[in-house]
Amino acid sequence: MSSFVIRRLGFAIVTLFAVLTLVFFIVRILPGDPAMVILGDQASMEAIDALRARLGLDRPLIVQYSDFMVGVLSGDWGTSLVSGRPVIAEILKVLPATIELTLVSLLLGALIGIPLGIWSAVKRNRLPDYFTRLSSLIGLSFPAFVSAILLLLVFAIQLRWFPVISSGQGTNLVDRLRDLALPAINLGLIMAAYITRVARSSMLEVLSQDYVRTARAKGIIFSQIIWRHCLLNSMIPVVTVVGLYLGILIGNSVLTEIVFNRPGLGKLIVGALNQRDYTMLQGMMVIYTLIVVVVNLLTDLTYGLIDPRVKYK
Amino acid sequence: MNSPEQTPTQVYWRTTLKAIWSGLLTAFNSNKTSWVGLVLFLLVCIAAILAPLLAPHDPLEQSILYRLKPPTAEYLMGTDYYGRDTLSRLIWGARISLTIGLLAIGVAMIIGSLIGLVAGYFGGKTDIIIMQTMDVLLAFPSLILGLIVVAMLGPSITNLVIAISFTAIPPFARIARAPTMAIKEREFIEAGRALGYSDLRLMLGHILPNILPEILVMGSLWLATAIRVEASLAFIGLGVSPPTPTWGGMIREGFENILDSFWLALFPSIAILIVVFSLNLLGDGLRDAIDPKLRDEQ
Amino acid sequence: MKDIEETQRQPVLCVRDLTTAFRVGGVWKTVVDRISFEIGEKETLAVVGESGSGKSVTALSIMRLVSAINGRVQGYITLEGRSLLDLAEEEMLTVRGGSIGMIFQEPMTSLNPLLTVGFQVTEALRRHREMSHAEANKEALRLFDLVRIPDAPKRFSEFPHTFSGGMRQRVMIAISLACRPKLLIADEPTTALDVTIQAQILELIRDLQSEIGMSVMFITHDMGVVAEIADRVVVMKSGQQVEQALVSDLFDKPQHPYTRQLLSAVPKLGSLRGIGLPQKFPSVEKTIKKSNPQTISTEEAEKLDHRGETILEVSGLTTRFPVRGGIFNRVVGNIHAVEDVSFSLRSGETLALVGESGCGKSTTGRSILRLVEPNAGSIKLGGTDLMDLTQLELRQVRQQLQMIFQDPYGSLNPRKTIGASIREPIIVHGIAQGFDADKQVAQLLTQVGLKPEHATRFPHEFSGGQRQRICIARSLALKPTILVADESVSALDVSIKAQVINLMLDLQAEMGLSYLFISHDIAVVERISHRVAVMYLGQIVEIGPRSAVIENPKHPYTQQLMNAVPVPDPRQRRVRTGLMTEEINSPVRPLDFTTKILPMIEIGANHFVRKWE
Repeated sequence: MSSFVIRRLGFAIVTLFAVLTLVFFIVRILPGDPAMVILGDQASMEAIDALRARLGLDRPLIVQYSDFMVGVLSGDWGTSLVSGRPVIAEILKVLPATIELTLVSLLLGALIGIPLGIWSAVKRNRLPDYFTRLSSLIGLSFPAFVSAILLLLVFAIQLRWFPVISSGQGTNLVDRLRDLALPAINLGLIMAAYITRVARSSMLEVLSQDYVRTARAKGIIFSQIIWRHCLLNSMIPVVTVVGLYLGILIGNSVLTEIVFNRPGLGKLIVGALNQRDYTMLQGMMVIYTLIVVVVNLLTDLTYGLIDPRVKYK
Repeated sequence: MNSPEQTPTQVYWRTTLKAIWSGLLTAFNSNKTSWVGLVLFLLVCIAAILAPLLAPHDPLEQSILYRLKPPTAEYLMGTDYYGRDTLSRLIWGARISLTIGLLAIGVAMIIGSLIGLVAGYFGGKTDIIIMQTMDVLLAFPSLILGLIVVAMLGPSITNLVIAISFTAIPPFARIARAPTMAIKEREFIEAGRALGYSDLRLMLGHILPNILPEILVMGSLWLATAIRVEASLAFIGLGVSPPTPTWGGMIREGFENILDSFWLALFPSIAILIVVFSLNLLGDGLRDAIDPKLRDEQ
Repeated sequence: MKDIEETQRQPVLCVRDLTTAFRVGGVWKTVVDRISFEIGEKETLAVVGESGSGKSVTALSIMRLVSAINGRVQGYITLEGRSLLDLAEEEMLTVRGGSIGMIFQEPMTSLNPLLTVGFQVTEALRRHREMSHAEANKEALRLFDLVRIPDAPKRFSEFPHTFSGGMRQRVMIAISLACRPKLLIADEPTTALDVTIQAQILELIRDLQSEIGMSVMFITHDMGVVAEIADRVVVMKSGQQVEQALVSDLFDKPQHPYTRQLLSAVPKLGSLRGIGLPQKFPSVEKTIKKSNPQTISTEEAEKLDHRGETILEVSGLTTRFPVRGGIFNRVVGNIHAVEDVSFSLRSGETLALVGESGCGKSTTGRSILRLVEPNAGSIKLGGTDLMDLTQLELRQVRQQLQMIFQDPYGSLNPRKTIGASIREPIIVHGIAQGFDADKQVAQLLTQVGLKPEHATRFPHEFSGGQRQRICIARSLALKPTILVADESVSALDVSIKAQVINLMLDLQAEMGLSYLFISHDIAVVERISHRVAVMYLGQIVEIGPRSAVIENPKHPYTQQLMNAVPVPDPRQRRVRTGLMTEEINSPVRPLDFTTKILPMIEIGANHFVRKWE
């Protein structure tokens, strides 16, 4: 088991380096001199050169690269061009809010999606199945901001059950939950739609396997077959999808944060883009990379936990 | 065996096309919902094509008198902040969304499938390198990715197509690679190598036709996503620049006025919902049809 | 064998007019049509048929594992007097696994990969015999010993993927025996296993049957297995019961024409004793072409020996595959698939390569065509060493050396018409174009017994046997001199197998083709080969004329192999000993391993045996 973990860890580190390198080059190689883009067409050559020097863009590429890598690893991610504060501080200020939202939405999605998917598979082609399939399909069809706006309209504006603007920084638990509720429901339902579908198709596949036939031939009660034989086996694709869609979730959180006016990574990056905060952008890409690599690693490790065959690959 | 006017190649193509056509019909017929999806989507496409004829007003024409008016007989879906007719903007907006979506997915389908085909066929180091790159891109939130690309390049239709296809290439690579690897092990490929066929011939002539169904299903499902992403980008402010009407942009403007003129956000939302839903129905129905495991078996 | 008074006791299982239908696409299709039979105490009933005969569905119907929604089971099924079809589902749950145990064909997928093997056995025990965990564990270990799984305490908590196919089947047997069932239903349990492993499992079932006193319903398509274990036999065809008899009566005096056809298509090891040359299968119902008289006397047989000069000489062929593992995916060992293999092949000759899983026979075939790259050795085809050629030059030579594969379903591109598939090699190699190519395709189709009009059809419109013939036609398109047949008939039904073998023999006589016939089915090999080579762990351990190797094997492995083959003659049931739990060794070796290659000794005319320790 430990060699498996070490292998995966090593892999993750290598991937991290590779993607960070990619990030470095993307930011520099894209068309348009960053300094010009930041200052606009009307700026003078001196202003542009000054900015380039300040950003360190006039030094040889290798030096820039090593500075960048060292900086990333030591926690110095540069300074925001807009606020003047260290990028990493800005990011860390809003990171907890995004993580909070993501995790709660994920939990909500799994709690709804997995049982619904399994139920739908067991009652295949009967009414519960059709209903579930239809509603998950509808759920998938909503862009996150559309559903967010709808939720806002109905529950916050019309019914006034939840605040219209949530700051995410309430002091007591109830306030925080009320702030979190609508955004989390928004993302959670979308997540539930994805998870339902994958849980359903995965369970259907597991139910058609030979070992389920063996269990039935052993005379095991059906509910026990589902619980002992099918559940864990069908979770493998679900884990894959959750890992994959975590990315979508983080993306959708951007939209949700805008609609509900919640602080988070999403608003930060949109702000950075609009204001051409070059160093902030770079830092954002680093944090997203980190998140992705960590999620991939966790997904892989989870496979190792569930499936004994994986360690031997 | 052959009539003198037809060469063997022509007979071959006729038979193959007939088989494809009947295959499609069977697929559609086995899952009736896919017909619904197809019809809905085609209706929207027709509406978009016929925009100049269907739209009652000029989508760009502003009117100071009729600003932020709720739905009336003349302005069936109300007007926006600048007095422009929502319905007309909606119909013209369909053009943008559909064009960007179709182009982006078309490009992504071709490039992504080829990448997946090559990775799956050659395996080994090529495969590992390609797929690791794809996996990382895949896990990257596609909206963020699209966001960054558009921000760097600037919002125009071309750039939006580039950005969205960029986010769609990894899934196509993935969806092409898995069946490629499975088919590569099948004996007709090995037979082909024994018969002296080149790798290119095997990849394009033998493997590709066999993975086409999966790719096309993915295409329709990702078209739905592409339209969603385009709308999302427009909502954030990175869509095609105003005053060109886009659904996402309309929702953004509607959001700014949400408290008093909610219809501005409502109608484009419904429009997006219908298009994305119909494509999902279509793709889903097709996928159920081609996946033997999900068919009605017990 | 049963005597009459014992069968008059109450039967354990009584089936009357069992009819099962499935709803496919809205239409009800009868798959089992009024089957009736009885199984007495301690009796073994074999249910025999080819694919589509409905034998598996019969078993599933008895167990009521047929879908309630799309399936319909009618008739009478009683187990010790108790009607099974009238039971409620909860009661049926106690019957399944409790009174009736069932084992299936695919040991590799029949066990849950995420649960330990021990758990899967104790689950049955706790379900039916209400044992505590401790009691169940103890009993499970006892069962492991009973089915002769070595090292039971250690293997108890391991996962199925660490077990071989034969071992997994033993676990399945342990599970099904956990509750001392009255009846064991075995659905093709040994079909997916190697022949020596099959012999072990059959003997195990027989021993357990007498120890526990249970009845067995054994489903199979292999008449040799039937002769080995059955007391009585039911023959099924297309869902209907065609004949039912005591096993000796069935083999001696088959009544129904289908039974007779089936028996004549079954190769019987030893039937060609004394005849040196390959022989076609007699009186197969649908012959493909006009054929020569079937049985020939030895002198006439000699005259028909059309073999010519040596055209292929393989020497010192070695192919190894790296095994990766460890933290950095380094190469930690090698699979020594083919080790120093040498043989020759004459024109018009069939050399058979036989052996069990992992012996390297398939890899040898692929290595000769360089579909996998050998590490060492020479392959001389008419003077040119194939190992010296570049990929481009190889493509030319590929025309002379072609291959037919095992899976008739996977060997053809499902999206190409069969005419296009056959025409493709002709066009790719520039042999002909346009109408000429088309004419050649028509010719080839006729040659394998199909009609030229079929060229516009797709592979799924043909049966397995027809597809295999299409593959043969395709490989003949390049006018090869040597055809490597890698288990080409193994996936076909018994009667179809015979037809295809006859076709291959006809083609050999017409065109002077040579065959390298790779197979694990020794009875089939006996009919088609001039010479036989036996492989074990990548090496040829014995090679010589077919009659010498099969009738007079000298190497202990060859002897073991020949001994394990079930013979379709109940009188020749052998009492086996000493094969109990030997696994087939795996050819995986550490990095620095050098194989000890012992020399070959000539012990007869052209008959060589490798020295053994």
